[in-house]
This record gives sequence, structure tokens and C-alpha cells, in this order.
Amino acid sequence: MSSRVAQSPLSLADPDELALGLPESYLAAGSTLGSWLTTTDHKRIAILYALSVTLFFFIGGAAATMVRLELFTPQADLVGADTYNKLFTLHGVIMVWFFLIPSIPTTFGNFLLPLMIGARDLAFPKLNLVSWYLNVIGGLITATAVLAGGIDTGWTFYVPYSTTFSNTAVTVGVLGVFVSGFSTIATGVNFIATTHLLRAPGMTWFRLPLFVWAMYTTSLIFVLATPVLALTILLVVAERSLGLPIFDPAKGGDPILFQHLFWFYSHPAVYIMLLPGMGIVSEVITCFARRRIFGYEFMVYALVAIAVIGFFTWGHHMFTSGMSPYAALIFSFLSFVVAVPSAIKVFNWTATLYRGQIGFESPMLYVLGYIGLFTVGGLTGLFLASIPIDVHVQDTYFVVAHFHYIMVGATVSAYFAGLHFWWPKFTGRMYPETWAKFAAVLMFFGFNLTFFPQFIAGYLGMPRRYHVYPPEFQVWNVLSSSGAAVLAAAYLMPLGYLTWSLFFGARAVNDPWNAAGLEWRTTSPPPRDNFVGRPAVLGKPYNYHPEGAVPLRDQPRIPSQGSLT
Amino acid sequence: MSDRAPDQARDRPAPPAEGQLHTGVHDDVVGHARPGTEAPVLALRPVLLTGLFIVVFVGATLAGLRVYYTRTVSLPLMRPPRDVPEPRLQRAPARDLDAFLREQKARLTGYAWVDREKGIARMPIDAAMARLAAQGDAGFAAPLQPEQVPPLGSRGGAPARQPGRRLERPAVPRRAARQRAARRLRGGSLMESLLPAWLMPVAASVQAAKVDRIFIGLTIISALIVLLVVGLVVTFSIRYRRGSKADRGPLPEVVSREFEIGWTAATLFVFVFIFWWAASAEITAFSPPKDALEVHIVGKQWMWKAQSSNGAREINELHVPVNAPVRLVLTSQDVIHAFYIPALRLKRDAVPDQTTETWFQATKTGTFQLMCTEYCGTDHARMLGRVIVMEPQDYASWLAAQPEGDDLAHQGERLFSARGCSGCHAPGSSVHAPSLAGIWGQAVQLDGDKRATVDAAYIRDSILQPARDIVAGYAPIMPSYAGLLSDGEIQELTAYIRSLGAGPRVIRTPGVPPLSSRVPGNATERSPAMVPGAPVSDTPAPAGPAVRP
Repeated sequence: MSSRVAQSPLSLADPDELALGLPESYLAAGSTLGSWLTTTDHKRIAILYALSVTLFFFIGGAAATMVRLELFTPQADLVGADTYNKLFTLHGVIMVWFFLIPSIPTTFGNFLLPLMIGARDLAFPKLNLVSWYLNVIGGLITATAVLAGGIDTGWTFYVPYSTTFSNTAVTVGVLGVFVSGFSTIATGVNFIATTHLLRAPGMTWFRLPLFVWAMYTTSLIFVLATPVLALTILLVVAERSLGLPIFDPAKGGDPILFQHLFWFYSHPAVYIMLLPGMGIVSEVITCFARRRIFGYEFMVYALVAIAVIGFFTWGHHMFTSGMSPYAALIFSFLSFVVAVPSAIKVFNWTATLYRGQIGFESPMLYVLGYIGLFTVGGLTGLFLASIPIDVHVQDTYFVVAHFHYIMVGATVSAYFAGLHFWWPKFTGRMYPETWAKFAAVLMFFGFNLTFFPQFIAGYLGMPRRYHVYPPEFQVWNVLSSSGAAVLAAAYLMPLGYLTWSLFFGARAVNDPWNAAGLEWRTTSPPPRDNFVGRPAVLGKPYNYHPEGAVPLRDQPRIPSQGSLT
Repeated sequence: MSDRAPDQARDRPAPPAEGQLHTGVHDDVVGHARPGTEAPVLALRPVLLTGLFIVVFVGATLAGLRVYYTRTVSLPLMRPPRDVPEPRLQRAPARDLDAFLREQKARLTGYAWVDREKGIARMPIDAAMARLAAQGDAGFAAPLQPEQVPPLGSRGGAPARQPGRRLERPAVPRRAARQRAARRLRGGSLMESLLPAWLMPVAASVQAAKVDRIFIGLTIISALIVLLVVGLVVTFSIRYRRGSKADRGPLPEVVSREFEIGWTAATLFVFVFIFWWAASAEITAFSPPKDALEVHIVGKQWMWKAQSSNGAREINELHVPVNAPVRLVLTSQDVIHAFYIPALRLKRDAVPDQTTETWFQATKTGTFQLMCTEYCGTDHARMLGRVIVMEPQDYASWLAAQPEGDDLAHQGERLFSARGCSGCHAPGSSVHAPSLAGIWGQAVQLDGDKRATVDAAYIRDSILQPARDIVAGYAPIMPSYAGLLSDGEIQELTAYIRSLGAGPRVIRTPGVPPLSSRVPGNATERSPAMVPGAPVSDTPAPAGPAVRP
């Protein structure tokens, strides 16, 4: 493998490729910085997003590392109180708005949505580029706030602390979030329009791959929820900068109103982070079990149900804020109800494995880890939906552990599953499978070691956002911090070997996994116009075996070396 | 080149053995374009059906919960809030302690039935000790069961020589019984038996026992579900690994829609059951008992202030008696804090300028950690305190040592004269100013045909902007106190005026303690933070500092 391959790292276009008469890959369309920054190709924009999202992931991860280091001992020995407060705020803001929310939709969604429905691009390619710029500008504004002294409000920006009491760069920070909100709205509009208008002939709604359904429902949440966040942030800015009394209780305002507005966005935002991961899992698990997805219609309805009911459960973040007990009951009930479609999805994924031909390549390992972590995270959600338990564990590490299981354990596992699964399609290269398997297993154990002790510490009563804590919690924090070190290694490893594979990885064939989706019916990497011909769809998705027949044994799905086609 | 179908380029032939099944699997999915086969359509019917379903579902949920709620809870949930707690205990600590000791002494020196049915009686402790000493070692043997019923009309304590009869030994057995009761109430026994001590948070309240029961139940259910899912995933992964010999016949007919509906229904049932379980625990324990000791908590960066209805004032500490309900009324002076005592499984936010309420009943004496759990700035992690749960007699002695009469109304009373209010508003003053006795909650006639109801907001306005609303018949001569009185002081004055009563009453001379400082509050008054839709006739006075940073 060869120096010849390494010669063209960016274009990844093998000269022999052209000799076959195939169109050149989207990567070959230009290698200058200008060609990347002005591209309207959804695939290249996805790569831009992947770069910015990765950057933000490691910024947020660095802050988390500092937080975990500080919590190794009960005293304040690494950073002081104010610095600690700024660190966890930085971690939360960056991870939520600049990693988790854009991560899967803007990278995999951007790249794969048109491919999966047989389109040449998104409906509004220029808007797509604009939304990347908005995202990056928002991120830079928020990063400016960090340079200008940081924000110490926590990612929730609760008033009146954020409006009246904090002396930090809150205004600049929230404006960054405000700007990036338009990026997600634009992405949502784009995806909805694309799904409605650009499906290939024969691609009916119930032939859509579940990843497309996940993108579609996520986009609905983008479009419906994000404006509420924008409004809320503007009100905070107005109160803070212009002195308009909106939430200030001293002037008759209601700080609880802010919490309602904030969580009306931020709870659906949890599903923004969750649904795309579910889409990826459905794609990967079918491929490596060689089975059609179990209960396709139920999986679709479950996605829709989660997206819809998810809008009505925000109040469970406020059970201790002094809410009417009747309202608390309703929110509690709806929070239990929204768990039902999630449970259905878990059962259906499990049933998909039944009588399959299961292979354990690295994407599948990530997905199996996902199922375990998501189940634990989802079930602890039931604890938090039960009002008496929530009163005890609200704002403790139990909550921290719960949402990390969902948003980091599950979603980031799905992210890495998707990254490995579609890496050959994105780059035209194979990654080192052994390293990838090792990273997947390491991530699962590192994650559990980091976050499971936090459930116990939380039930024992350790509050979140404490930089010093009573010494009886130390054992759990030491376990958690040690796990964080393992987890950091597991997150850094793909950065290393995937970068390596860009230059030295084996050439990928068009369909290295022998997968069924439309995105595999083109070259790896795809040409600018995605497909060589005009694809048309004749059957249901996940057509791994004829309806009613059994899946067949086939060979391991890592080709030792690839021919191009 | 362009009309070459991409899937023709697949790199792998189908496995030869079952090739006929495999061939063309993907070719079903993708074919050449057939323009106009199917236009993208909006599936109108599913959309409408989904919308209809949502409307019906939400409506049914609201209606069902409403029925459930009204059956379980008697409205109104909240007693009207009281700005100023009424002193119940300890109006005169020395006298109360005397009475308490007298009562205890009477128990120790008299005869009485403890339980006439079972023949348990009490006798003077001297006599009991003498009898016990006379019995020697036998006196320490366990009482025999079953206990004999004494002959009707026998004197209490007389048949003490009968071996099956148990004498109540004062003090010690009662404490044992209380400990037994406390252990029962804690319900921690299950948890104690299941978990090692370092995994088990101390459970020291009635609520803690309930929370732990639900938590353990939920943990068991969750563990079963996790075991089921992980077990199935692992089993399938091993049994149906690639190339294994396991049977892979077509799925049986039953494994499809029926399974799907089955486990949807089962999941829904389990989840709704858990909801019902947790919600009933919450609902039935929502309203505090009527005789609860009322404690007002004020959070401020970064400390807790507590003030009991009996006048005790503390900082970062809260002393309460064991086995007595305690109602907390919380507010904050600056940002949102949360009052959290893990051992009591108790948490409630303290919100600036609003009051929130909660209650607990401790079942264990001891000192418990108190923490702030709503992020509140730099020293959030150091906003700690402790809750000291004491035996009633210890609590009584602790209380007796506290300075007397320091509640809000008393402070307001002192302010009333110190700031010169009494110069005009006291009866017999030479200045023509309206008397404040008995005006609370009443409507007053103002200049310009306006009427106003005297509440906290009205009094605040009258102090800060006296010229705005002038009571009919009086001259606008009162100066504004804006900037001269802090919010806290205004709250104290309001409390004092409120303590003067809601009806015609003879005004007291400032400085002389009231005979009965009954705190008014009519039935329609509720905390605006707690009960939605209820008519709010009272806005709590802002508690924070007049000038915010």
C-alpha cells in the first residue's frame, strides 16, 4: 500500500479510477481552501461540519477533563471556585450546542440524507453552506466569551443569576448560542424540504430508511423548538444589557417563567441529540445482523411519537421549583409515556438480532454498547420522572449520570458507530479494524466506569456543580475520574487511527459491508452528483433477505484490500 | 458511462449454496430510473390521524389525571400562607419548660393505665424500682407472652408479681418503642438488608422511607429489564453469530405485529403502574399536617437563614424536634437556591420574591448535612449547613435558651417605633394619620373614589410612595421611606401590621407583647407560587435587598 496511494491525500482520487470511466469523487472537486469554504456540495459541507464539530468536541472534552481532575479530591486543589464554575459552563455550552446538537444531523445527515433518498443534493445547497457559517460564527462568538473571562452560569443560564448577578461574559456567550440556533433552524428546514421534495422515484415514506426518518423528526424539533430558545436568549440579553426587567423578581418578573421557556426548548433538544443516534443504530444493526429491521412501521411511529410527546414533558426539570402539584403530575405522566416508544425501539433492535447472521465488526460493537447504555440511561429516566425520587436526586450527580448515559453514552456511541460504518463511503478508505474494535470496547468500559459511580454518588446526595464536596463522596469521584481517563483515551484513539487511514488506509470498495441502503449504490467516495445513473427504488429498505426468507451466511465484511468498484 | 447502474459493480458473487435466494436481493431495491413512477406525496391521512390521536390522547390524559387528582387530594391543598408564623410553643420559654417538666414528673410519680385492654399500667418510678430490685435477676427476664388480661376492676400496677405481666418502665421502654416506631417508619430495613452501609444514604424521615421504597422497587424493575435486554442481546449474539449452526427458519407468524403490540402494552402498563405508585406517594404526602411546626427559610449567597414560628432564629443550622411535622416556607434574597437535606430526601427551591413550601417529619435524631443544590454562584459548593434533629425534651431546652420574641412581627414592632412610624400612626398621636389597627385585608376608601385592599403590596406602596394613594379624609403629609428602609425591614413592618389583625381591634401600645397575636389570613389567600388559578389576594413582599448589585 503504497506510497502511490499516499501521494494524493486530499483528493483521494486514484489515477486508475479515472481510467475506469467513473466520475471523479467529490473530494477531487478542488483541494484549495477556497474551494472548500465556498462549496455547496452537501458532502463537502458535511466534512466542514465534521471538522468544526470535532474541534468543539475536544474543546468541551478538555474542560470536562479539568473538571474531573479537580473532583479527584474533595478540596479545591487544581482550580478555584470561579474557574471551576467557568469550566463546567464551558463544557456544557460547547458540548450541547456545538457538539451534541449539530453532531449527527449536520455531518451524517448532511452527507447521507440526499444519498439515502437518491437525491443529488439538499433542497437548498446555499442555505446549507450558510448554516455552517452560522454554526462556526456562533461557536467563535461563544469562544470569544471564554477568552473574555468565561461564563459562570452553567449551560442552563438560570435567571436571576445570569441576568442580575453574574459578572461574567454571559451576553456574548448566549449571543453565540443565539446565532448557532439559526444554523440548526436552517438545517432543519433544509432537511424537511429535501425529504419532501427530492426523494427518488419509488422512495415512498414507508420505504425511507429509519435514519432518514430520524433526520426528518429531528428537523421538525429543530424548526419548532429552536425559535423558543432564540426568544428566551434575547430576553436574557435584553434584561442583562438593556436593563429591561423581564424575569427580575425584584421588579415583578418571574424567574420560573425563564425555566419554562428554557426547558420548552431544551427538553426537545434532548431528543434532537437522541433521535439521530437511533437512526444510525437502525442502519448499522440491520447490516450486521443481515436482517430486515423488526417492526419497521412501529420504529417509524416510535420516532414520531418521541418527537411529539417530547414537546410536552419539559416540566419534569422543575419538580422542585415550586410547580403546581397537578402540573407536576401531568409532566410526570407524560415523561413515563415518552419512555414507551424508546422502549419499543430497544425491543425491536433486540428482536432484529433474532435469527440473524451477526457479525461483530467495530460499528456493530459500538451499536451493541449503545443498546446497553441507552437502556440504562432510559430506565434511570423513569426514576427522574417519579416525583418523590426526583425531589431527592434533582440537581445531584444522579441526574448528571442519567443524561450523560443518554447524550454521551448512547449518542456518542452511535456517532462513532456511524463514523466507522460510513467512513469508507466518506473517504474511500478503510480504517484499521483491530484498533477500532479495541476503541469501541474501551469506550464502553471507560464510559461505565466514569458514569455509573455517579448514580451512586447522586443517590447518596452529592449535588452537581460542586467543586469541593463532603469527603464521603470521594471514592465515587475517584472511580469516576479514573474512568474519565480511560474514556479520554477511547475518544482520542479514533482521532489517531482515522487520520492515519486517510493517508495510508486501504482503498474501500463501494459497498464494503454489503449493506442495503441506497448510499452504498454509488462509488466510494461518491461523485459530486452522488449517483452515476438515476436511482429508483423498488422495495422496502433493509432488504437483506427476501421477505419471509432467512438471512444467509456470508463472509466477513472487511475486505483485506479493495478494488475500486 | 452514465447509464451504468452502480450496483452492477458489486464486488462479490452470491454464495453458491443458497445462491438463488441471495441473487438479486439488492437489485430489488435499486433499479434504473423510471421517470414518473411515483411523485413524492404528502401522506395526508396518517398526518391527520396522528394529529387527531394527539388531541384525543392529551385530552384523555388531562381528564383522567383530573379525576384521579380530585379523588385523591382534597382541595385546597395549601393552607393559606402565613407571613408571620404564629407563636405556638414557647411564648414564655421558662413557663413552658416548667409545664413540660411538671407533666413529665406527673408521669413519673402517678398511677395510670397505659393500656387497660392489655392490662399494662404505669406506677410511680420509685415503687417500680423498689419492686424491680426486690425481684433480683428475674426482673431482667424478658416479659412472657401472651400477656394476661387483668381481672376487671383491679388496680393498675397491682398484679405486678404475676410473672406474665409487664410493667412499663418509665422512660426506657418508651424510648425503645419510639426507636422501634422510628425504624418502622424509616422502612430502611429492606434497604439495610440489601445494601452495605456505605451504599446506603441515611434515611431519617417519613418521606425518606417512602422514597427508598419506590427507589428500590424501581431499581429492581429496572434491573430486570436491563437483564432481559442484555440477556437477549448476548444470547442472540452468541447463538446467531455469523456462521453458527443455529436454526434460522423464517420467523413464526406470531412474531410480528402481535409481539409488537404485546410489548408496547406491557411496557405501557409497567410504566403507568410506576407512575401511579410514585404519584400516589407524592399526592398523599403533599399537604403537611395541620399542627406542623412552621419554619421560614431564606437563602442568600451563600448562607441559609432559618426562623421558626416559635421565634428561634438560626444561620446555616436548623434545629427541629424528632417525630414532629415541620413545614418549611422558603424564599430567597437574591438568586435561586435549593434547600436539600439528603438524609430527609427533601429538596425545594428557594426562589427570590416567591414563597415555596414543603414539609418533613424526621424519624431519627442526629445531625444531617444541608446543602444548596441550585447553582448560585461562586461559593455554591460551600453553601452548606446542618439540620439537627433532637428529642423533644432536648429541643425544648434548646429552644428555651434562644432569645425570645425575635420573629418578624416583633422586629416590625420595634421598627415601628424606631423609625418614627408610631409618632403618627399610633393611637393618641397628635398628627392626623390613619390608625393601622385591624386594617389588614380590609378595603379602604382612597381619595379620588378609589378603593384598595390592604395587602403586602399596598403597604409597600404606601411606605415607599405615600403620595400615590391617600386614604380618604387624610392629608398627604407622609414622607417617602424609599431608600430608608430595606426590603427586609418593609417585610417586618408588613408583618407587624398584619399581626394587628383583620378586624376592628384595640390597638396595642408598641412594646407591650400582644395577648394574642393571632395571625390573620382569610381562606382565599394562597401562595401564588403553589396553587394555579386560585385567586391571589396577596402578593408576598419582596425579600431581597433594595439595591441589587
